[in-house]
Amino acid sequence: MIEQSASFTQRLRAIVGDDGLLTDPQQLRLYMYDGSIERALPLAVVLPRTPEQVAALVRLCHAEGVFLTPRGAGTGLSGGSIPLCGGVVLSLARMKAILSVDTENQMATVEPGLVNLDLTRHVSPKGFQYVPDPSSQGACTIGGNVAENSGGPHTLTGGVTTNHVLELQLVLADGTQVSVGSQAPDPPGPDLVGVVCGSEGTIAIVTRIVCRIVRKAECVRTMLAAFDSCRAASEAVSAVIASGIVPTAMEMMDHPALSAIEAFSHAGYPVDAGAVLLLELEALREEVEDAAPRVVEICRAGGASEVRVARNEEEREALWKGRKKAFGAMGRIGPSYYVQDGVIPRTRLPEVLDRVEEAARKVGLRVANVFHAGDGNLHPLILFDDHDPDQAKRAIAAGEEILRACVEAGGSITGEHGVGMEKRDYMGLQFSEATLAAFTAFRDACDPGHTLNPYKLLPSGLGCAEGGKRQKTLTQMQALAERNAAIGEAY
Amino acid sequence: MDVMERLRPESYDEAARVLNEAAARGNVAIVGGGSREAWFPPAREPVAVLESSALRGIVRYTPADLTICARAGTPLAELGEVLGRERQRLPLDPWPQGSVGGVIASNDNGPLRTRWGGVRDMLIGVRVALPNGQVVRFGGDVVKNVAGYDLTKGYVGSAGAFGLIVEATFKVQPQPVRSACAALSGTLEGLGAAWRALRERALPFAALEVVRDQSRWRLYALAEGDEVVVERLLRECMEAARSAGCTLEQAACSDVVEWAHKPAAASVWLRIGVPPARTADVLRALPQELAAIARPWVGIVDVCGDALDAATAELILRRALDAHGHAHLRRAPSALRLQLGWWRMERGGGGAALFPMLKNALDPGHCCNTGRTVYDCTGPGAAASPQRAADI
Ligand SMILES: Cc1cc2nc3c(=O)[nH]c(=O)nc-3n(C[C@H](O)[C@H](O)[C@H](O)COP(=O)(O)OP(=O)(O)OC[C@H]3O[C@@H](n4cnc5c(N)ncnc54)[C@H](O)[C@@H]3O)c2cc1C
Repeated sequence: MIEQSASFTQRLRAIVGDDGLLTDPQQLRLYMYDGSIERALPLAVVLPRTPEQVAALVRLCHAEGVFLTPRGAGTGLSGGSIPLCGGVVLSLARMKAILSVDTENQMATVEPGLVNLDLTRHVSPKGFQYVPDPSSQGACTIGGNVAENSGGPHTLTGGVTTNHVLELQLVLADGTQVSVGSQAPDPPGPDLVGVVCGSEGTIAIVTRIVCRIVRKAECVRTMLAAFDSCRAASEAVSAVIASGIVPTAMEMMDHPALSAIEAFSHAGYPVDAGAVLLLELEALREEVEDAAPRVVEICRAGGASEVRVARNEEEREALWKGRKKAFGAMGRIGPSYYVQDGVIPRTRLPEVLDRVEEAARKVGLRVANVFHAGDGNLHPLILFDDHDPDQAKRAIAAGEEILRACVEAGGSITGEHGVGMEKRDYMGLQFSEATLAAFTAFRDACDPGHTLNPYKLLPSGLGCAEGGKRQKTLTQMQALAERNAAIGEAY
Repeated sequence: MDVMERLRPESYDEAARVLNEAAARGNVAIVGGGSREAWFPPAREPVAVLESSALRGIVRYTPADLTICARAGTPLAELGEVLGRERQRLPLDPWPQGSVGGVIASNDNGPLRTRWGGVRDMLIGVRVALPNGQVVRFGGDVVKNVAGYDLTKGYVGSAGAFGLIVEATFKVQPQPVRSACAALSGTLEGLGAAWRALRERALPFAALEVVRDQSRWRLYALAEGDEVVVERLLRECMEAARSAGCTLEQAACSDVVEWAHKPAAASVWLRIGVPPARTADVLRALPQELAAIARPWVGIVDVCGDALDAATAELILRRALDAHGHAHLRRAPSALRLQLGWWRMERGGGGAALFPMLKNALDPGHCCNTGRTVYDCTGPGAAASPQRAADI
């Protein structure tokens, strides 16, 4: 066994070279984590530089039955890039080139390891931007964004990652290189780019991306409105939409979040408010000038005690600074936090926020809310002490209760952070056995051995229909897990 | 055609049950509103036809959430009426309109594609009857949702290959307060300069259509929104016409609609897609006798006419492929159809690999509308498509 695995690392090295392979436990430890609360140690990390190297690595792992987990920047919040059952972590971090920018066709071709913000920075001097802007955009990669179908504060009008991807180059589970989609509109046949976006590295590794870049809007106006309560702020959100105005961003922060953010980034938020709305309008100058006073008026009529409108870029950045750093700020009010990502129809915000509060209170924990109110995407941050296993358990219980509330309100268990490891067992809250069986059948058809990012996205119990077949797969998977462990002993 | 069993289920469960029963006997043809039947190769040797026409009506509609859920057999026009009562709309304007399910399965769109995108940008969930007798649901009623695989997208352009869509949920939007239209006329070069100048200023035109009628070229610009927006957009048209040496003409919003309806009435209709900057190249090479309607910001060109010979058609198709585009022969007399097939597209190999994976997962017996997509059609109607390396 050891003989064989030694040759396995040699074969990895033969593909990526000495500097493309990490096996030192100290170094491997850095790949145990992502932004979630999950942990697992890989057996090796490979850092390929070309799509061909990726393909060769996937072929090798496929042939040897070794698990392979793709990884971007590791900012994921659902454990997607954690090598749950060991195996190899394939980091795309070195494939970060901007291969071409075509302003005439308004598209760019990039490698998956490119950091999201670096694309916008690169095209900005030409007056362009890449729309999807997760709050983690300074660190997360576009490949990771595609895998998670990430959103961001400005995706309310602009759409999420999938709406900005035209063509993808992929390495499939057996190592074949293909591309899907087209630089021309509406290619014949099913929308395969759409199917790959959000597949969390379980059906293919993305090695190249052709994405849309758009001209920056002529005029942007950002404002902040302070309310007594989340309920009042939520109602203002609905009132703005009902007036026919669709802002590009509508972000909400509740009182506990505000105090943490203010202590952390001194953004000048009104800390005694019950909730704050951050609104942004982006359009033609005339349109913004027409809509902005109406938005202010609607907020005032909805009980806003204060409405501030940024007068220049500096003030605008100051308003956003607090929001963008909100998660980091939570350290000011609790040792650790567990962030949830449920979605509900916007009109159900007030009642579901009450249930969020209730869920935390029931387990004796506090909760802060910072979220994309415009599209009903909640991010309750449940505060707990990670050194206290009982508190961690209670945080998870409250999280589950919140997701239940979201599903009962007609929503989803995840709006942008993905299922990963963390929410696999909540899939049954949202989907029927029959639907889960269809997801599983798709996964099986793409990657029969589940070597690509195993044990993610689908329920871990695998208790759904077709029990017999699943059972077989499960046994196969256990055998593979043992084999992966044996390879691990080689180090 | 001889008498084939026609199944018109009235509930989702019934749809799944009758599909399951028919699938046990052989292939099943799946039909929505039927308005686009001739655009796709026929389903392979069906033993029954399954229709969504009796699955009709709105399921859920909360105007304040800007989402609507309807049964798949609901005519798009009916959906529009319901939304219109609340002064909302689905910005999807294909012609013919057809049914909700049919528009998804054929991935069709119209002039508003320029500003609002296609089906994939509006559809947030589908419910589907599968041949295994189950009703499944992908996506949902909320505008952001990344739980599970986004198989909703797989149904966009699926042409019935993965079961019968029985229900769909869309994002909708407020109706614009005002609409107005301007037309520029001039040479193709002049109009090209105008549409490029307008695009560079990120102006939110709802639709921009360049048309050729006999030898005249015209560019219609549809402005929608608040009063101030419409006025600004019209001013920009004037400015663009002046600097590109084009003439500004009176036009009505209905002109755009009228043009968009033309291809469906012609005996030959070729829909071409190219990267947007190549639109003019395709237009320039079209023979005189054909009418053309194009969306230059998107890269869509509809070519239509009463007659088209195969050799000329091949030249047009060649040009589309050379521009890294694709083409779909939507309507053709049978002789031309036999010569040309249905599609031309460069394939990066991804479809050939991923389509069967979806098919095997959702329709493992390969009995739902098999043979109707670019990836599984065969016989004289099939497309001869060059294979391209995976490199992009
Ligand atoms: C402070 C903070 C704020 C955040 N804000 C947002 C937000 O506003 N909106 C939002 O949507 N998310 C947000 N996130 C979550 C996270 O940043 C996104 O999910 C992001 O897309 C992950 O990118 P990554 O490069 O870090 O990927 P990773 O975490 O490394 O991986 C994520 C998943 O993608 C897979 N993967 C990575 N690269 C590839 C590839 N090339 N091919 C195939 N699969 C691949 C991995 O296997 C894994 O399953 C936030 C996270 C943090 C820590």
